[in-house]
Amino acid sequence: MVIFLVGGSLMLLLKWPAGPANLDWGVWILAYFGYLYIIAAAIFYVKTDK
Amino acid sequence: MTLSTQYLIILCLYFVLMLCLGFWFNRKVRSKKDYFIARGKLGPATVGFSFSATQMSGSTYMGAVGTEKVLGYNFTPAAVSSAAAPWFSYILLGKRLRTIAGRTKSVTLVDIFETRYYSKIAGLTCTSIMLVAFIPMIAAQLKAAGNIFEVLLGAPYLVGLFIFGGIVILYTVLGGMYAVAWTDLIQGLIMILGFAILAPVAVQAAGGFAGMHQQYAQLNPGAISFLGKMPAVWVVSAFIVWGFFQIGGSPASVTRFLIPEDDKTLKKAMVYSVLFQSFIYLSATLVAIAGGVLLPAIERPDLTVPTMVSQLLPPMVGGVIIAAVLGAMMSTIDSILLLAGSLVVENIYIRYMKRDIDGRKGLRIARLVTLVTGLLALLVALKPPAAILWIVTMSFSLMASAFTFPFLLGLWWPRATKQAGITGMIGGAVSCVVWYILGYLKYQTLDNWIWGVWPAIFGSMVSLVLFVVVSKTTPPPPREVQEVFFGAES
Repeated sequence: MVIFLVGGSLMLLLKWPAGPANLDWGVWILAYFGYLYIIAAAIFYVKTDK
Repeated sequence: MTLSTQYLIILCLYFVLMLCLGFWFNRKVRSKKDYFIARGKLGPATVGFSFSATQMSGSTYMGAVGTEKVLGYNFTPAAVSSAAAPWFSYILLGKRLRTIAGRTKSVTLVDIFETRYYSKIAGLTCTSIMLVAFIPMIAAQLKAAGNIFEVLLGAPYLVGLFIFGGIVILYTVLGGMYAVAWTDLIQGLIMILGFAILAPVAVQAAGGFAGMHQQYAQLNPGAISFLGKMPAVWVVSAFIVWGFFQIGGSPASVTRFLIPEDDKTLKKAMVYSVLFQSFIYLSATLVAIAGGVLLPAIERPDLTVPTMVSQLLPPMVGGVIIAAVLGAMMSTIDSILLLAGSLVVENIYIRYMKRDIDGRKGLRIARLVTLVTGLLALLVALKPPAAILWIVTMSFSLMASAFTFPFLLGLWWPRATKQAGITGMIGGAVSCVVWYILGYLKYQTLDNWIWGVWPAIFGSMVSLVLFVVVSKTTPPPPREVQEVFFGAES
């Protein structure tokens, strides 16, 4: 959670290089892959209680 | 057959299904405890979908998509964070609330709050803030529904308002938590189906994923990345508020943690919630960006989804999406109605009038109070305020400021005292309102705040500081409270 909140907040402040499909890499990482992180973290909690 | 007739056919089928559930579950409710929380009687999918459908209101489809269309990826961090909200809530509150609700036989969140802060004043403060925030929240959803009837079906606002409001109030009054949770599950599935249809069609119509973003960047250059249209503090605040602060800002969702009797159900429910919300917010982003390309000059951005539906989809398919939008509103209204009813019955009527109203009489009063709350919200929606999202956001901010840290620290910090609980709640709520007023005085609008700091962040920080300082300077809680909340799990 701390990684998500603090890491995510810091990511928003950085200048990111251009990535595929006319979006920068910051948008790809947080706004698209961010969902995968949340889903994986929820499943990890269910499996390990951590 | 006209467009509105085809929409109406789908909507009538949908409404009949909701009412049938209400009548069906009416037979299963035996007591007011059944009616308000149905403890141990709902499975993980029902609990998970109900949690999320309650949290995602009509503003997800209307206001949030409209705002994201205008602000683009400046607003998307808030959407991602919203999908993470169940993750925060289940882990930080869910397990402990479930355990303690079982130990204390609590029916409402306020029961737990009152026990934790061993004070009727704490309970009354909590109840009052929630009730003040709930009525505008319900009214905002009813208003949005009335607008949809107006725009898409050509029906007068009041007709839409009374049909929609009447149905949601009726099935909630009849079936209580059973009906609310099951209709939430069905509404959630329809919401998924709606965005699963609309998102690919909208992206395709806007030129495909890469083409859509290229056009969007030309039309709205400041919105193609995280920063550009809004100040950095605003973007970061939104990211934190829409996720973490749902802990305190969405008590109607959090009430779902009182339903399961075991942790396994709760954990599975969390996965359903996270998957559901991730899908909805990812799709909403795609629809919003496509909307920015396809409808760059739309006068009311909150009507982006209904307008795209009418332009891009055949009416029968569009009807499913309209049902999804209305379902998102219904799922929020029913949960808030039920929670408001439970607060009035359990935490005001029984607590202060000391009436013994168990059994059938209790159930009748619970239904009557739920009905009156619904009618009151209908009355407010007759002459509604202008903007949907910001009404909901303001109520949300008020509760997030008042409850986030008193809930969280009350469950995790044995040293938290009743004086801290009360001061934290009142201080958070008052400073949130003050922050809105200061923003309004400076910018003449409720959606722009000093330094771009969201009122929920300001209010919560004040609440946190007051809470810790007061806890440290007042006598510790009684041993019996500490044992109930922090003793070994049974």
